[in-house]
Amino acid sequence: MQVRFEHVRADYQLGPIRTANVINDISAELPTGTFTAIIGHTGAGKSSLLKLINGLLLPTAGEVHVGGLMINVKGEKQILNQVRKRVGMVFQFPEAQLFAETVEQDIAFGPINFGFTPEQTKQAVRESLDKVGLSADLLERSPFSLSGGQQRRVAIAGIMATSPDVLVLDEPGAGLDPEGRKKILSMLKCWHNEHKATTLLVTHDMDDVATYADNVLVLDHGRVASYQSVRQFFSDEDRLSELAIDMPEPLRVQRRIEQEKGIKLSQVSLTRSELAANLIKEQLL
Amino acid sequence: MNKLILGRYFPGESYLHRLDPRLKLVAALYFIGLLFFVENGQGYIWLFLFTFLLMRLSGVSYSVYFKGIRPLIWLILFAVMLRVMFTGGGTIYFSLGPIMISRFGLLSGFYTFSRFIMIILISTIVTLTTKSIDLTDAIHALVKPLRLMRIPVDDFALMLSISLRFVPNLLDETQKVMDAQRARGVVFGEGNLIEQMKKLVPIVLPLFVSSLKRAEEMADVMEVKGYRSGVKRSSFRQLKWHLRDGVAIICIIILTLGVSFFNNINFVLLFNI
Ligand SMILES: Nc1ncnc2c1ncn2[C@@H]1O[C@H](COP(=O)(O)OP(=O)(O)O)[C@@H](O)[C@H]1O
Ligand SMILES: [Mg+2]
Repeated sequence: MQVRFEHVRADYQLGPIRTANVINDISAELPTGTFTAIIGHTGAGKSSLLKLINGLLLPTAGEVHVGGLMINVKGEKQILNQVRKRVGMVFQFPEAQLFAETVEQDIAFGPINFGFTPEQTKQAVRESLDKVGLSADLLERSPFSLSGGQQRRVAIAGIMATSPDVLVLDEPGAGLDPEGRKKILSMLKCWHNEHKATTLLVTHDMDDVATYADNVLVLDHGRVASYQSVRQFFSDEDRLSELAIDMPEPLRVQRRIEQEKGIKLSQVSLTRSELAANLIKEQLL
Repeated sequence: MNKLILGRYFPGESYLHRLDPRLKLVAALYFIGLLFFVENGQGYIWLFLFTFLLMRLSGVSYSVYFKGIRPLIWLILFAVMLRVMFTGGGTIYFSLGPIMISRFGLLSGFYTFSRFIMIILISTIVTLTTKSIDLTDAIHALVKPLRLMRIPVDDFALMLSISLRFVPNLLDETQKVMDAQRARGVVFGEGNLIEQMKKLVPIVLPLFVSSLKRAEEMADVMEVKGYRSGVKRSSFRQLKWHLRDGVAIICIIILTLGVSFFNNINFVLLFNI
């Protein structure tokens, strides 16, 4: 399912005051089945952009298209319900939304709300629990008795169980140990590949961007500062330093080697194996 | 949830912002007490003028205050209606069984209305111009004498300031959890009462869990930092009396004199008729 922003603006109303445009005239098209990383400094509007996709934040101008559905200023309930059924949203620290007595009930919450039959629900729960790498013995446990990492997986399973066409993730790895982060991200990538879901990932880690995403959208003060493929994006060194964005580790190593040896490799290395391949090709190894 | 103005703080540097919070608190209570003694139109005009002057001084626009009244307007009108319908005396314009509309009824309806509005406005002025931490300091200072009765005033003050400190966090968190459950297909404000109550569980429970977690962490941190109850402690924030606070007191005295002046005239008129 395609996601398209057309001249979208949005802000928050806090009592009597409105914040300045938190999203300021954004237009972008995310094609079906792409994996897009959204990056930008804190307060750039990343989370707000995600909330626009399922109408938790309504635009004050412009339109957000999700598949054939359109969200605008009016935010009709009918449409919002349909959109939310199609969009799965994993908030930052999603374990904060767990509430049910058992893991099973918690994962089933979304599917039941979206009108799955009991059999469909049961199957969805089991499949998604398996997808996030938790064993079925946990189904009867209380979610509050699990470890932080396990809680996060249960929360993510609760979203996957609704089989969304668009998956939206707000820093899913935040606050976990490196091992746990890596597991969660590779599992999300795997799910993305299987379901061909259009995926948006907010992250601060450029290695994650380089490893998992097809495209990068850089937000800056509520505007799109750059939107292109990951490879193009990381090739443009000047633009990177202009936007004050770090390079992924392998690329940093590559630049260092290039400096030392006074050469230029033909391709940027996004992952370690790419770096190794590039070095071998240039016969530096 | 974001509509309620009462209880919010507006950062600013106005005269009212800089007044001593103890004075503001006492003056607001005094003003509200005064409202209940005034029984004539001129007195209310005085009080309204004073209130508007304060709103002006607070540096917050009038529209903000009136938006703050709006959520409560039906409640106020209801109280006023009762007052109007069941008060007799003076010329009677209309009557039906126990219900009547009389001159006195309309007048006391107007007084009730004015009292409600001014109580809301005055309390809003105080909270808009006073940080919650200053307000707790002020309350703390004012209830200090209760210490003599072996009431643990300091502990209560600390509890109050911690609770107030976390109100915004709790509101933020409520918003976040509601968003998360909406994204999982909950539609709030639909269905019958029981269904609506059930929808509260996925919100209230996570909030409880996170509040308890935070309370526990906070207790640990305080313990580590050596907090112990029942120990005499000094305060980082010292309340100081300034010239402007004296000026404010003089203004309040003038207001009181003005209001009682009109009250007396009214008494005189009443006896003459
Ligand atoms: N619920 C809210 N109410 C008011 N302002 C908000 C709210 N959420 C975010 N903002 C403001 O919107 C801006 C963008 O925030 P956000 O979208 O969370 O940025 P990011 O996720 O990139 O850090 C920030 O300036 C923030 O203060
Ligand atoms: Mg964010």
